[in-house]
This record gives sequence, structure tokens and C-alpha cells, in this order.
Amino acid sequence: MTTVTLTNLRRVFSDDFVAVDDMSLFIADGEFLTLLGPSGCGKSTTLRMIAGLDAPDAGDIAFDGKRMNDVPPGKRNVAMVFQSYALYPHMTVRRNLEYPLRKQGVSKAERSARGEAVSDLMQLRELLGRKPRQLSGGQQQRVALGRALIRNPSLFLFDEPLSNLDAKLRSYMRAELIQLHKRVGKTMIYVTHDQLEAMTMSDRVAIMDKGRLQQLGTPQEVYNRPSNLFVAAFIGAPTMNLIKGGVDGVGEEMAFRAGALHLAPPSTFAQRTGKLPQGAQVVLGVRPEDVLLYCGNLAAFVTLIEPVGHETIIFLDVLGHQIVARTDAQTRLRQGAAVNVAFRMENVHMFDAADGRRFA
Amino acid sequence: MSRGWIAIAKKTARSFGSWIVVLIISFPLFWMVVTALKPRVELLQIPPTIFPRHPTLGHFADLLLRTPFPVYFLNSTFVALGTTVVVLVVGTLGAHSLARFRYPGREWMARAVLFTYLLPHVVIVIPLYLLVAKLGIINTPFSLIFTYTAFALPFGLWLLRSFMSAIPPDLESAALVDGASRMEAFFDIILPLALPGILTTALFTFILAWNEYLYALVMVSKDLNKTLPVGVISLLTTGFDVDWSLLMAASVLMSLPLVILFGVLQKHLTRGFGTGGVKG
Amino acid sequence: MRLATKNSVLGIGLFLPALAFFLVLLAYPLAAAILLSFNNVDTLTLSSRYVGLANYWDVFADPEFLSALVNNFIYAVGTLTLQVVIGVAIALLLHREFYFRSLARGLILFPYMLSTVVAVLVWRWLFNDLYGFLNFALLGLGVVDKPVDWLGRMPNAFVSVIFVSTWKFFPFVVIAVLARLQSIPDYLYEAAIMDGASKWALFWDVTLPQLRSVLSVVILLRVIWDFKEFDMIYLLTGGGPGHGTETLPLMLYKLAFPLSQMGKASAIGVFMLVIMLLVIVPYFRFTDVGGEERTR
Repeated sequence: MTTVTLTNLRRVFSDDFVAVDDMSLFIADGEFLTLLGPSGCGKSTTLRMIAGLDAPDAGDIAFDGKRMNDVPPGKRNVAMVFQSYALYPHMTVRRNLEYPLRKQGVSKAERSARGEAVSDLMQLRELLGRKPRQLSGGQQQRVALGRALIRNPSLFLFDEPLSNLDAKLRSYMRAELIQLHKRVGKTMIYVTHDQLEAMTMSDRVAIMDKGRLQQLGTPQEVYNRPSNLFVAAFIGAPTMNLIKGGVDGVGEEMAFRAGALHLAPPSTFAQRTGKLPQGAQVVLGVRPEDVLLYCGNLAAFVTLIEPVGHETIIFLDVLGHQIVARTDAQTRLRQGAAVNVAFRMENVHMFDAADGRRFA
Repeated sequence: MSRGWIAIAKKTARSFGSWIVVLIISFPLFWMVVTALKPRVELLQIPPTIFPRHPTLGHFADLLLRTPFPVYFLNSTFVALGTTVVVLVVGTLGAHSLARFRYPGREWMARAVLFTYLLPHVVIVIPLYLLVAKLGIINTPFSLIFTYTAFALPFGLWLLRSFMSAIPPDLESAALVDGASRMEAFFDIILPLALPGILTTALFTFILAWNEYLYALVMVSKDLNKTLPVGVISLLTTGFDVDWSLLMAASVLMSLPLVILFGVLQKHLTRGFGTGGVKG
Repeated sequence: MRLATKNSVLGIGLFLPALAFFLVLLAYPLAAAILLSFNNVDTLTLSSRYVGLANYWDVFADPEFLSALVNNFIYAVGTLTLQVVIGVAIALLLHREFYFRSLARGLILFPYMLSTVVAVLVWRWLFNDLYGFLNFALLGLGVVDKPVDWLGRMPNAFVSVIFVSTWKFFPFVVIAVLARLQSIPDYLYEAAIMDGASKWALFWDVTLPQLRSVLSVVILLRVIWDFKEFDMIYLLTGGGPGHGTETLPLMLYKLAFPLSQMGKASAIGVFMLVIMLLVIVPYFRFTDVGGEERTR
């Protein structure tokens, strides 16, 4: 039973760099939550503070409501898997696995038994006598996982554990970790910069940038309703198309104008955005899959074709704006071809150009 | 085919040339051993013989049975081992502090301590002598152990710190999360992985303590408490005739422990555990 | 924040023993030496009397001081130059592949590992006028027609001292340079060879610049240690003949122990310290000591 509550967490490094700024977050018991964001956004620092490896300068960390700020890492009943695996190089796999139990004072017999159980679980039986440098990357990862599992912690922390694996192994391990979570049922906090991992594995995603929480929600929520420009651009591959422009007209006659581009959102749109003044500067967001080809009346021509195998990414010039779209692999469009496009206006997003906040 | 022969011929010529230089430079050492093995009669022959015609261990026996040499040897062993132990304890703890902890004044103090490595020891011999006299440990091995520790620490700290800093911080973090206290992490993780640095520091400290002359001369004047360097030199100045055979035997025995230590530790100094546990 | 404080306290605690040694056995004596130089101390009663700069004036006025200072410089510069030249040459020699190379490298290290006492005894035996091997060899080769008095006459004694010092300390240069040589990448040489460089040019234009950083450190350390060298000279010649090989450390020792003039001896010590600081500080500014190489 472990919930994690972060309240107004703040961490400033010695050169006045604000790594984490006013982070507040509640993680439910048994939840798989991912801290997602680009390098330097503060996600690893937040994770380390939850582990107790780093101390916050302000704010509180609580497990099940109990304040943890001054509890040393060893006493928090947390397990952590590092990006570098951090296996003890001078110890065999068996001793690596058993180390947490030795620190807890578990008897030799029990240590041995649990060590064997975990090594069976992680398929490490034949490797027990080897040293880490004799193992492959995937094997080392399993040892790191085993070492985390063996102590039955109430909270699991993962710091980009899959970053050092090749693509194939990574997708395999993603599935393994999802299985693990289902089987173990404990709270897991996962840090990554890879949105695919975040989207496929998490119950909820916390997106961070520059030390601040940008949005918290399920993968579907952050994908379908990004709360600001940063999240909109970060989630989704290829990246959402963002067009800077101005509001033309008010209320139900509101339209969007950017250079030669003139769009009329459906009337429901105006209800969502609320009253925007004439000429307000906004950013329109359209996901590539919402760019429809061969229909509508926006004149475009193809600037680049990227066949990806199962589909084709098309780069278009739409009335002077660079737009990315997706289409099937069998498309007959070629570079320079002219085509009509339209945007699926029900799925269009609109953000404030000044602070990136979502209007609709 | 012929290229292979030319390469071997070149290497042989190079070996020949290099070894001639090495042997010339090492000649005094060879001469030391040879002199120790020659009977006195042969020693005073002109022209001198290169290899002893009738090698004898008599001088070693004389040295061990008829001079205080064994006592000097024991004193040196005690002082050198004692110093090494103290330096390793104080040094590893201090280096760990410098490498892994944050507190005000850390860099400043580290640099000050390192700077003393450049200090001419002869400048502080008088105050140290007076201090040691005041503490009442003059003429004891402890005066030397403390002094030598102070001399060896700056270099030892610097060396150990650089070894410890090279150990990936994630390893210590993992140990902490696994339930270790900071001191447990120190013993379980840091010390084993810093072993090459520890052995190097131990060797360097031992050599320093074993060979040091000036302070051993100043701090210990009672004959039976002397260390080897001072004791052996006093063998030189006693009596009218200088007994070179005895002195060379003493030189050989004095140097033997260092040679053995160096030979034994050499393998370990370069071996590490590899970074197999850490990727990236 | 309390966890962070606990850690800081532990950190300071771990460093305290080292700090204690430093303060009690290095910092305090250093300060005491400086203070001592302004006093006259009576060794029997250990009482001291403030005399201001009198010790310094006495020392500077003593002709023995000037000769010791000059000797110090000549000795330090002489042996340092030889150590570096020979050290680099031997390092180059030991860098190339040849049979039993590791054994050779071990042997070269010996002079440095020996006690100064052993080195002095061995060389005094070699220098012995009647039975010493050196005189035998030189007489035999016809280089001289009567035995040389290596340690009892000037300038022989000075040359001998420099020579033995070089023999004992040059391996330090060898180790440092050899380690650096082994990390110079081959492609630097390959590029130069393709540009038509001769063997000498390879050394001068490729090797030497790469050695600059390690040589800066080595020269700094050796100059400091050679300048303050006591054991070697004291045991080899005792400063003689007369004051011919007496350097500042020897003069300091003589004033302190047989003559019990602690104040004056400390004045010499402080003077040595000042000289060394005057050398070290500009040296740090001028060279790349501790800095990374710029060629890469």
C-alpha cells in the first residue's frame, strides 16, 4: 500500500540552476506513473528526491501521507533501477541480487532461497556465478530488475532503464515491464524521455519541462487534449503541426487567419475557446493524421516524401505553411505534385501564442 | 619472408642496445650484491673480480648476529607498517569525504593539504622536533609514524580521491537504496573498487617510511630504537676501518623488502574490476 | 534539509582526521618555524627571546650563506637538467619494443626505490680511491693515470653529488614520460611521416609537444625536491670538502643541531620557502601545469 505525494517540491543546484520548480503530484497506490520530458527537465532529479538520494530545498515528499524528507534512502523501502544498471562490478550476480537482503539482516538461508527464486523469475540461473562484466546488456538489466524485486519494496523507481538497449530488446523489455507491473501490482514511478515508452506502459503520464509539471493525465488525455503548446509538440510522432496566426471575427463567426490560410472552425469550437478578442494571437495545432488529402479546398504541393514502410510521411507546403501529413504507403503522390488538403477541424487545437496555454 | 627476418634483426639490435644501457645504469646494484657476497680477502684485491670466486653468506651472518641490524630492521618494519596503516585509514576516509560529500570549505581545504606536498620537510624539522619532544614521544617509533603520516597524506589523499571519484556515483546510490548506510556503502562498494589506488598509496607510503633519513636521524637518537637508514649509516661511522662487505650486505637486506613488495603488488596495481556493472 | 545536513556533518567528520594531521603536524610547525625565525631559542630551557629580523641579517651577512645559496641553485639546476634529458632519453628507449622489456623497465626503477642511504653507500664504495670500481675502470681504460678523489676535492665532489643524484632520481622522469608516451596516438606520427618528417623531426615536432604537459609537472616537482634535498648531499659529502657542497638544507641542519641556533636555522628555512614560492607561483601561471593539452 503506497501512495506518493509530492507537494511544492523545489530543487536548486549550486550554480543557481532550478532543476525542479514547484512540483506537486499525487500517485495512487499500484499506479504506473511516468515522468516524461526532454533532457534537463527535472524528471530524474524528482525521482532521486523520491528515492532519497537528493534532498529537496523546499516542499515535501510523503509516502502514504508520512513525510519522508529526512528518511535516508535505505529506510524508505524503495527499489530503484538505474539507467546504467549500477550492478556492483566486484560481486557475482548472486551477491548482487542478495545485497539488499544482506543489508536488511536477512538470514543466510532465506537470502539464498529468495535469491534463487528471483533468479528463476528473471531467468538468471546459469549466470549466478558470473560477474557483471561478463553479461550482455539485456542480462545486466535483468539482474538489476531482480535486485529490485528481491526485497519486496512498496515502491519501484525506474530511471530510464531501457535507454541503453537496442530497439528490439527495448520493445521486448517494455512488454516485460508491463507484465511485471500487472503481476506485482506495486506502485511504479518511471522516468523516460521516450514518449513511446510513456504512452504504452503508463496508467498516467506526468509531462515535465524546465522543472515544472506541464500536464498530468492518462496517455489518451495528454494525446487528445494537450494542455499547452509544449505538451502538444512533445507528444505524438511525427510532431503536431503548429501554425501561428490570428483570430478573425468574434463568437460563432470566429475564424483563423495565418497569411494566406483562412480556416473556419465549426461553431462548437467557439464554445470551447470562449470569447476571444478580434486579432488575438493564437497557435493552431493539427496532428498529421488530421490532415486530409484529396479533399477540401486548401491548395498545397508536396515538398518531400518519406516512405516509412507501413505508411508514408508527406511534407506539404500549404499556402506558404509547412505541414506534415500521413498517408498510406501506396500513395501515388510525388515531390512537387499539387494536391488539395483539408484539416479535420473537430480535432484541431488552439493555443495562446503568448503563454502556450490551451484555448480549445 | 625476408621482411620478418629484418624485423627480428632490428628488434634484436634494439634489445642489445637497450639492455646495454639498462645494465650500465643498474651496474651499481649488481656491484652491491656482488660485494656483499665476496669474502673480504677477495674484496681488497686489485684488480677487483667481477664475479665472486668464492661467494659467501658470511657477511649476512655477521650483520644479523653481530650488529644491531635485526633490531633496526624490526624498528623499520614497525614504523613502515604503522605509517601505512594510519595513512590508509585516514586517507581513505578523507578521500571519500572529498569525493562524495558536499560541505563548505571542501575544495579550499583539499587544495591546502595538497599544497603541503610541495613543502620542504627540512623547513619544519625544528618545530616538529620541539613538538614531538613536548609530547614526550621523542625516541619512540610513534614520533616517526605520526610525522611520516603527515608527509604521506597529501599525495595519498590526492591519489585516493581521484580513484574514488572515478567510481560511478550510481553504484553508491544503488547501495544506499538497497539499504546501506553511507559508511556501509563505503566498505562494501567504494573500498573494494578503489583497491588499485589503495595498494599504490600503501606501496608509496611504505617506501617513504622505510627510506626516510632526516627525521629518523633527528627524532630517534637511542641506538636500539633507530630505523634502518640511520642505523646502517651508524655502522659506517663506527670504528676506524669501514667494513664495506658488511655495509653492502646491509644495503642488500635493506632493499630486499621493497623489491619483494613491489614485485608482489605490481600485478594488482594495474588490475581493476572493470566497469562491467555500469553501462554508458 | 535535515538529511542533507546529516550528510554534510558526516562528510566533515570523515575528513577531520586528515585535517588534524595537517593542522598539527604541518600547518602548526610551519607557522612555528616562521615565528621561530624571529626568536633566539635556548635548547636547554626551551625559552625564546624575540629578536625581530636579527637572525635574518646575521644569516644573510654570513658568507657561508651566499655560497650555500649558489651551491643550491647549481646543484638543483644541474641535476634537474640531467634528470630530464636522461629521463626522456631512457623513456624513449624503453618505449620501443624489445625483448624482456618489462624486466628492463623494472630494473630502471630501482635507483628511485632505494633508500638514499643505500645509494650513498653503494656509490661511496664505487668511488673508493683504492678499491672502488670506478677508479679501477678509469685507470684500466687509461682515462686517468692516478686514482680520482671523487668526494674529497672540489670540483669533483660537486660533480659527484650531481651525478649520484641524477642516477637516483631520473627514474621518476622515466615513469612519468613513459606513461605519457604510451598514450600518444599513432596517427600523429603517421601523419607526420606521410608529410616526410625525419626521425629527429618526429621527436621534436610530435613527441615533445605531447610531452609538454607531463614535463611541466615533472620539472616542477623535481625542482622543488632537488632544491630541498638533504639526505643525499649530507650523506655523500656532509657538505664538504669545507663548504664546497654545502647547500641551504645542510646549513639549516648544521645550525639547528650541532650548533643549536634554532632561530637562525629557521630563518634559512623561511628563506627557502619564500624562494620556492617565488618560483612556483609564476611557474603555475606560465606553464600548463595541471591543464589539459591544447593539441587534439
